[in-house]
Amino acid sequence: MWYATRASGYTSLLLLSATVAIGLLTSTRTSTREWPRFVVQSVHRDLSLLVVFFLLVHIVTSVLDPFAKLSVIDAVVPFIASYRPLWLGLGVVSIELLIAIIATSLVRQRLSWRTWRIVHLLAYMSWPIAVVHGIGTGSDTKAVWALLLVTVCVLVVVGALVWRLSQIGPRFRALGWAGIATGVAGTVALIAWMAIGPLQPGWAKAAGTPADLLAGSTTRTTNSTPAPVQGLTVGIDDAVQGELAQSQTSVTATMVDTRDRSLTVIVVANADGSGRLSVSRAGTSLCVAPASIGTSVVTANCGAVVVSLQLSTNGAGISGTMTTSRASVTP
Amino acid sequence: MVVRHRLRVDPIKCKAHGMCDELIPERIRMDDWGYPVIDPRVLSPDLVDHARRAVAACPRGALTIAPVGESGARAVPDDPD
Amino acid sequence: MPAITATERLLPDSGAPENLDAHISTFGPRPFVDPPTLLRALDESGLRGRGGAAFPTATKWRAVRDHVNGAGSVVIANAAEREPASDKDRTLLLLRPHLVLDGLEHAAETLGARRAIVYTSRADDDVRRTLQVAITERRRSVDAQVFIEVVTGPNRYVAGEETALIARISGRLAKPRVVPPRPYAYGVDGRPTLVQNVETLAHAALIARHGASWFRSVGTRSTPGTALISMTGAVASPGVFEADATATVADLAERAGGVIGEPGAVLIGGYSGRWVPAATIMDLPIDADALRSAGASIGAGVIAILPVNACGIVETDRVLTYLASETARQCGPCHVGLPALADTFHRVATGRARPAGLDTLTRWSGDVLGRGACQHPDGAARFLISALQVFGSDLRHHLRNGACRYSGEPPLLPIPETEDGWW
Repeated sequence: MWYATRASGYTSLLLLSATVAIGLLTSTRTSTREWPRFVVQSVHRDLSLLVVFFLLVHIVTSVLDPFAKLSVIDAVVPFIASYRPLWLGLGVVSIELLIAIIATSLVRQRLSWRTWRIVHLLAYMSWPIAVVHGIGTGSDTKAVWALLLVTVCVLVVVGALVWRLSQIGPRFRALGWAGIATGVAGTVALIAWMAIGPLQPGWAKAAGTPADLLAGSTTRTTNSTPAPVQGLTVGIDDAVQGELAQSQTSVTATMVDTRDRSLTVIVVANADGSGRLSVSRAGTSLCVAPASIGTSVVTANCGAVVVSLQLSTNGAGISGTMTTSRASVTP
Repeated sequence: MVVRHRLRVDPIKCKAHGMCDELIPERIRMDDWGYPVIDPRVLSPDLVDHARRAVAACPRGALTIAPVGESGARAVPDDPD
Repeated sequence: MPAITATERLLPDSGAPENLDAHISTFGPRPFVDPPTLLRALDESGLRGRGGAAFPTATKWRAVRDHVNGAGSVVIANAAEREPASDKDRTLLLLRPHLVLDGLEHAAETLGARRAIVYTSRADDDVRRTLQVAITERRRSVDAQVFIEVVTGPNRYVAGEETALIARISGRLAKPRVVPPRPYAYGVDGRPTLVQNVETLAHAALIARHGASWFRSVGTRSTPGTALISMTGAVASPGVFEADATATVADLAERAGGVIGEPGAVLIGGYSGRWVPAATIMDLPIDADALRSAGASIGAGVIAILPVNACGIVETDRVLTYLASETARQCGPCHVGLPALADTFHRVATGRARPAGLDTLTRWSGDVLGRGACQHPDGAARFLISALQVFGSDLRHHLRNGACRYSGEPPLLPIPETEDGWW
């Protein structure tokens, strides 16, 4: 699902850039033999509807995807999401500007032209906001294809802007030059920001990705989802007792804490020397972690808690002591 | 009785965007400065759809379809924009 | 012997301004005339507007009356007189303001007006002051019945246009708007509005006192009563003269001290009027039908005489450039087309154009007709078309040589300085 969000996001950006560029062309009354003015205008309007479609996909998939844990509210109110709030919020702002212009264009007959025009000019802002949103939130930003795509989008729009402003009549010449200068300055600023921000390592964290989603966090294991460690306290020093079961490749010891009979401890020792510890209480898993198997000692790290078992076998039975202590502080 | 219609342009709203003469050249031609010259003849039935499309395409809403005979009397003037 | 008839109607023989007392002693107090009676009198008098359009006055008043509802109407005396060669309204207002104000009060009563306004131009400070004094005099008098306001607009050619002055009075820029709806249906603050030239209102005031037959006792059948004419150009004593429609252009030139030199062409109707060859028009009476047969009309009552030893091309060039700079910049064909016409004409006049330029002038003149919100492009185009007809051979001479032997003469037609604002 996250793929769908990213794909529809980049597609929307491409289509939005095309829409803005063609929109700029309509005001210059540009036309060719194959594309008379009314066709250019129609393409602009139709592209903008396509943008809406892909944005809908983008929003829906981003809310449905469990990764970033976005709610519907986060998609409507900017800057309150838990995932990269500032950069995501910009996306919300951008979409809302687009909704404004689409809505006013649909009821154009009832509005004065001046009102429609003001909304439309504000909607121009949605493009640069969308670009920054995409770069700031995108998990693919550093990828070559993403950089290429964004470069093309920026070149197309800024190019169209320069063309449009170069067509301004003598009365507003100064305004035209100011606009071109702003466009160029904005592009340079964007590149500079990217160099010191999103393209640097550590951007994901700086952008506000929640800690538990960052790669390399201690609760994440290579072959299982993170497990909660509440309920497994330090300072346990209890006798444990249980049974052994053997299979071709491993030995499994299933024991209970004699003092707290609801606490179940299972140790699996594999033939290759690896092992696993599982602790649960009344059916709720408290810890599942790789364990190091010694001759009589089994140790495992359950998050910040070190579990240590001193065991001895007695035929098919196994018993010993379980202690829990605090792990030494790791960087 | 069939109501006959013709095209009318509001000269103050018109800003020479140039969509209309492309969409209904049978009734609109461009002068040397890019502004539309409207042929006041009645719109024949086969032209009505083209006329409506031209009216919808005008970015300023300057083009309208008016009944022939009336001076297009409006009760209230349009917003000057 | 020139047939100059009854002059003491609008303009005092003495030429001296009349205050309220003098006005009442000359004309008597303003009578009350009930609306149907006054409207009938205006109908039978055949009075037409003297602002240039010559629309039947009674018809105009009836149209406003038909649209009046509970909100009342607005009556406006148009004293803007933006036609540069015209001085008649100003003269009338300085000498007999009370006659104009009488007419405005009659209109206010007849049309159920909520507001009565005199609209002047910022350029005519003396007129404004005279009006304020006259209005104050009337307020102090026991008979004061109508509250009259004075509103001032910009010194712009189109600011005297009906919808433009209504816009100014309604608090917007003094620019014309698209009609319909016409002012008699929707004007100031959305109320039915009468916009009437000050000279017309003065005539109405006299008709209210003396009746339709009296009004028709001078003039012609199609153009009864008297009219104020501004005589300018190559005459010894240019000025404003009151005459009736039996007077010829030559008669009026005589009254203005006679033509200096030999008359070559006459510009009749103002800068939105037409050039007519002197031979055609000098002996024509200023009767509407007679003038129409020569393709002209009296318009705003301006007659400018061009002698043979003057350059009609240079005069036309200056007027056209002025008209092109006086667009409200709202309608493409006017604010792009008129400067294009003026520029092309100038290049033809100074010999920097090709012969095809003449065809362009003809084509473009036709192109701008009827394509503005107001009549400004039409006036300029018709003025130019008349120049192309009357000065055709001169124009071809200029095309080849860039000037003629009279191009260096000081120009005759006044071109005012343009103000920038629209307030």
